[in-house]
Amino acid sequence: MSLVVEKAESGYDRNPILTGVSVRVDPGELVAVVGSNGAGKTTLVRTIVGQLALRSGSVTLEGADVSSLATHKRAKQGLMMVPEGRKLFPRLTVGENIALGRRAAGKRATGEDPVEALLEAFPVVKERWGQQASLLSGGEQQMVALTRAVAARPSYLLLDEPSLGLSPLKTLDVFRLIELIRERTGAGVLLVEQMADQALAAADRAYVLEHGRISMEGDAAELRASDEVRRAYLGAA
Amino acid sequence: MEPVIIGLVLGGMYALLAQSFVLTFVTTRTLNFAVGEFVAVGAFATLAVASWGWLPTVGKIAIGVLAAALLGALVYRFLVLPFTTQGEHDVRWLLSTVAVSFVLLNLMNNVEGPSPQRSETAKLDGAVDLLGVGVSKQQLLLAALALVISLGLIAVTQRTSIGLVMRAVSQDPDTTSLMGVSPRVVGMGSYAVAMGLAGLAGILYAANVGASPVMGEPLLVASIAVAIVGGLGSLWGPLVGGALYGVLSQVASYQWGAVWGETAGLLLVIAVLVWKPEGLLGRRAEVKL
Amino acid sequence: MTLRPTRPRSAKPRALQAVALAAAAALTLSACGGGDTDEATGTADADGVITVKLGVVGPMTGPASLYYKYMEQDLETFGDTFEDKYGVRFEPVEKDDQASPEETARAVSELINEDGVQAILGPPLSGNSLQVADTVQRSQIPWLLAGPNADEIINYDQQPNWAFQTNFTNAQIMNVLGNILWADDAKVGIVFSADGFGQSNLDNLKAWAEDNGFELSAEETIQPGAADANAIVQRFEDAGVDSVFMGITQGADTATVTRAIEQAGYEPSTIMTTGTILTDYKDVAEPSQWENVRIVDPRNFLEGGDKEVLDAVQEATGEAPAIPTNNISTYAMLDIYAQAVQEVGDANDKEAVRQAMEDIETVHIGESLTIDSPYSADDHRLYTDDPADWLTYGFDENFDLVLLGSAEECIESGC
Repeated sequence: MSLVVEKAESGYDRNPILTGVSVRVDPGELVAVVGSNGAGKTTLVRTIVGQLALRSGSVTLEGADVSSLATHKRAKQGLMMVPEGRKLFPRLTVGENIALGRRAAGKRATGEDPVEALLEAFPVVKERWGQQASLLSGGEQQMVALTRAVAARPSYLLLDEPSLGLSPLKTLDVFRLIELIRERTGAGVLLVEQMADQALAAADRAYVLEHGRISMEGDAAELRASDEVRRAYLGAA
Repeated sequence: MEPVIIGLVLGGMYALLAQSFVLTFVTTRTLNFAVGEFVAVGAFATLAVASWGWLPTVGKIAIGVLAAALLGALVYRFLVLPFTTQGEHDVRWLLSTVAVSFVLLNLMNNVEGPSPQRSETAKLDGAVDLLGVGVSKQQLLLAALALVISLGLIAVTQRTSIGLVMRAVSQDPDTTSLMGVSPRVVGMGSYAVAMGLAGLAGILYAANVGASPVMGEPLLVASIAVAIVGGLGSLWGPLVGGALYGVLSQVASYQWGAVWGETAGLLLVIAVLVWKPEGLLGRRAEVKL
Repeated sequence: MTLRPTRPRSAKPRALQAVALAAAAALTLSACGGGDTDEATGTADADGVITVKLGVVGPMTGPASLYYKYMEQDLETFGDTFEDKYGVRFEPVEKDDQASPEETARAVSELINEDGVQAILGPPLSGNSLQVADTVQRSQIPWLLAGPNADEIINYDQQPNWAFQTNFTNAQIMNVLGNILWADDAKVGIVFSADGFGQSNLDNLKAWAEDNGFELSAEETIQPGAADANAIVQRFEDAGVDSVFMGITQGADTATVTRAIEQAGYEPSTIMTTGTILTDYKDVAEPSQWENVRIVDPRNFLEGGDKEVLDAVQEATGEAPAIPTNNISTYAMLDIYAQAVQEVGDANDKEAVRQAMEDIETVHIGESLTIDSPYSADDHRLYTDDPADWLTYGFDENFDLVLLGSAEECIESGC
């Protein structure tokens, strides 16, 4: 039982971006997808949640083909995405944003509420509870966006560039939060990042996406150590 | 004093229809230009069951409202939604709702004929004295309902989970669907509520002017004006816009004659569009890239 | 009754209904002809019956279709009557003018040039008649105007004149109304709809007032479909108006005004309106609102020949007369024309028929009403503008007409 993307092809009108991408995330696993700008990372997550239609290939969730389901139906089955740029509802409060996540949990909302643990570890979210989301800093917004996704009790969580636009210090916080989420929810996490070094450090396994196809995959630590990856993505000479 | 009171009462009636524009706009960014015909649909549906003695008045009204609501949901699903698929600048829905207006008008003309038909449902005869001014009970009822319904809608959007979803959709429909909410269902729901309101206005207005296919048309200009003045993005907008538009047009009518009433109202619209295009209570639309 | 829907309420044709109606009409009309030959020669056949090819033009389709229907009803109801009485059978050639001037011009020219009709009945709407007035006059063909009220349709400078009216004209009714409205030097206010009909009411009333040394104390427009008329009523009160004239196209708008009058507790001594109140008013108004409203008409809808015509239509067609005033006018017109054809003996001799119409001695309306020598070379109007010849009507609580006496009595002692 996993989230499996099989030979996915998709893109925009006359502009195919993914050309046969296969990715797999197992429960509880943190999988990173690294790649340069324009490699198709965002396209991949948008395809997985159904915001972009597959031209061929499939997306299966826990063995069920969800390729033709609308985005909101995939969300209801536990596939949550934290989009690039956070996409909080700007004129809703932090609490209301998170309430929308809770609403999406529906029947999956059993057992201990993982949000509580997150709030405890990162009290800033709780402090901002009644404030309009648009008034928060980037780092705070990312915290809220992650918390909102967790409130939906995801079985798989897709994170699109969570470090984008954040200071190194805040990025560190975000990665700590991601670790915590994995630990507390047991969700499989697909982390799409330009900050390859940190992503690979956190991940169990990883894929390298290049020009719309997977060029390398394997153990995250091994990839991080490989020369090719170091040269292309980690800035090593 | 008289023009102010009459203006507030009339403005209330327009506010009810303006609310229907606002509702569809905040959730779907579309306006249903067939609202005038939905006014008539509500009136005719209630008229059709008016002779059912066993059904209490509330039931007859409910049937009219539900008929308009159901039709509204279907119109959104099949004639609005498919014409909004090409992004923010896709305004084909504008043409398709105008087409709906034509089709409904023709249908009703064929089935019911063009002449107004007497409607006794929820009819209040006579006038009441309001601060020394004679106000038609029927219009007062419409205005009071507009106020109650607007406040009710505001409470729903502020306090309930459905309202939260509505506010979320109005801010970012794509992200809302990431939260497991179907934009289509929200759209159909708000069209249903909005057209149900139009139908309700029609049922109550028909008691005054009779049910006819064209009964809603004359209200349309004023209602759109009210919605624009108040701001299409705010549920408070119709109340503020209705009061302003109603009072201003009545004062002008009393002062200079009926021709100037509507003119003054439309001048107000132009002034608002120039000075604050998003409406008095509206929010400047965020441009998404 | 100035029953002219100068502006149909919507321009969207009731196509299906119209087709069905036209089909039904075609069936009934052809059935009237029995097994006889359809040859309309305009001269007597073996049985001594003259068959006349009569062009009938009007808004067969669209929201104003009632203005076609009344002609159809009369032809259906009285076809045999005129054949029995005068030995004249009408073979209608029907054209749809869609209530538009362009279509009217097209239809009339087809009737004249292609169908070769011997006379033309219609169009019923004044504006469209005006549009083709020159054409018909030039074509020298008897023009049977049973519907329009506009005086301008007939230009008496053109002699011999081919157009004949059997409805009253706007100038005539204005003379009667003006005398009633300004009786006892009352202050008069007009509320008129913001359309062609309303404007022509205003113009005619103003013209009459000017000619007779009066002036209007208030002029207020009402937009079609206006939600209220409180301001209008208030302005009447402020201007001290005690005599109100409503020149309003839609009965529903008339209702808005009378509702506002009641609501404001405004009690002018006189409230006059036009025959437009007969359509679409009753169902949206209350008896207390129409209690004091009056109309004038030269016809007696409640007894005598006028009523006989309406009853006969009702009986023969099973429907209410579509436009009662015009059902009566059409009867009178067909009576005049059939007599003229009978006298001349040949419908093709149009000038002789025209002359016979102009010289008509007795016009019959139903069995029991006659009007003697209505026409002369420079007056092709059936009625006069003498208030003594007109009737004033009010309405009972069921909105049935109540005859209140002649217009003259109304002027002298109030009504």
